[in-house]
Amino acid sequence: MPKKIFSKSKISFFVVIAVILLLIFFNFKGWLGIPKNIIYQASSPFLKSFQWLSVKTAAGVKIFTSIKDLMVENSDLKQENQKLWQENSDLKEAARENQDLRQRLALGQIQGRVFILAKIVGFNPELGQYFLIDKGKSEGVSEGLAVVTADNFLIGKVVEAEQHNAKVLLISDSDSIVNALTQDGRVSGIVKGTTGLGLDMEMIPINKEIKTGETVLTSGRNDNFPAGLIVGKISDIILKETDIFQKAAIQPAANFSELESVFVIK
Amino acid sequence: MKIVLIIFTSLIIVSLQLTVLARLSLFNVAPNLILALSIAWAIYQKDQKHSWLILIPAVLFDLLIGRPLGLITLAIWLTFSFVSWLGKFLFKQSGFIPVMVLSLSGVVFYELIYAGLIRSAQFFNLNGAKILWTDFYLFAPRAILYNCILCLIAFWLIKKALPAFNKLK
Repeated sequence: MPKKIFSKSKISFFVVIAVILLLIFFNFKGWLGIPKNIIYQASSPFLKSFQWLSVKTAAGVKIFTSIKDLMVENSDLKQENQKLWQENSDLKEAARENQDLRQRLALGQIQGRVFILAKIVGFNPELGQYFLIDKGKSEGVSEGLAVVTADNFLIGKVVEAEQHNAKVLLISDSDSIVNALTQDGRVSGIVKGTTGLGLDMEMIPINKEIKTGETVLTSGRNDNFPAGLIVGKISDIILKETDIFQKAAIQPAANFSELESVFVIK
Repeated sequence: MKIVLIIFTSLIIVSLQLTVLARLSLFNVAPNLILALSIAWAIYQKDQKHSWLILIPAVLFDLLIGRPLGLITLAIWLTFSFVSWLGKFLFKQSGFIPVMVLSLSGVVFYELIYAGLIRSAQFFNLNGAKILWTDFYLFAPRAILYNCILCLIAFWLIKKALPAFNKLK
């Protein structure tokens, strides 16, 4: 009896498996660009509508469940704080850059960057944290480009670009690695994603001093991220006597779950 | 007519999964509507004739955000087949307890098989999501609980909606 039941669906089971494996192979070869674009174009109106709806609903629920005035005030203060943080960071960077330039007695050319505004149309917070954005190759987005918020807070990088959409790997993903340095001490390390939406700064030399609350920036060394983007703040320092490197927990500058639009830096 | 409706519904399901459900994540675990529907469909269906239909939302989801592409579809299909097989062998009667046990078995199976597939993809150097077992042990129980509840809701929805769908030409 059991044999009979299994044999009825055996062929279709293996046919489907074969088709899926074929799909994986086609994707590996890069032959699925057109179907991907068709699916994206077809689902784009739904994605945009639901994204808009979920953002509005989330905002409505948030206000409803909080004390209204305090919530608004808190939000304003947070925005102001982020703005000041950004300005402060820019000023510090400008001062340091100025100092470097004076030391060298020459003016370095600051590389011109193009910011491509993209809307987040989908998010997958499960294993592998990706945003789906509504800009792709036709708008100049390509793999490896850095993605930031309007405040220059680093979000991640483009890992796959199709014609009209792209996938962005968040810096909080365990697969993400960003070369970074602390703003005041100029101590280098690498920022990696941890469990959840957290970040860790690793490979910090044991003899270097880092402080809680210090801002962490991208160093721009050996990766595609431009230097000076804000990654976050050091929230905790993990120092073990037996280790040759120290580690720091980073509070990300951007709130990944509340983003609506981002900028791709070209 | 039916196939158009299925594709249209699948696009809505996938869009919901990537937007609204992603925002319903608790402790970084989002409910998986596609998984819930596939398990509910596997429990509900009386024959194997339309089993491939469950692949439509899975493939669409994979084409949109799957990295590496194909693994979600593969995991969904294996889970679907496992639940169908289990349902036929172990639970012939339909009641709340068998449905719950099948949902739980399906969700646990999916979490294990998906993690296994991701690890295999890493082994074959396919670019995409990576998994650390420490993360898996932390997130899997939450995902199982969350998706199991969603499975029961999906089962109830299918039970209510399918008679109307079958009347369509």
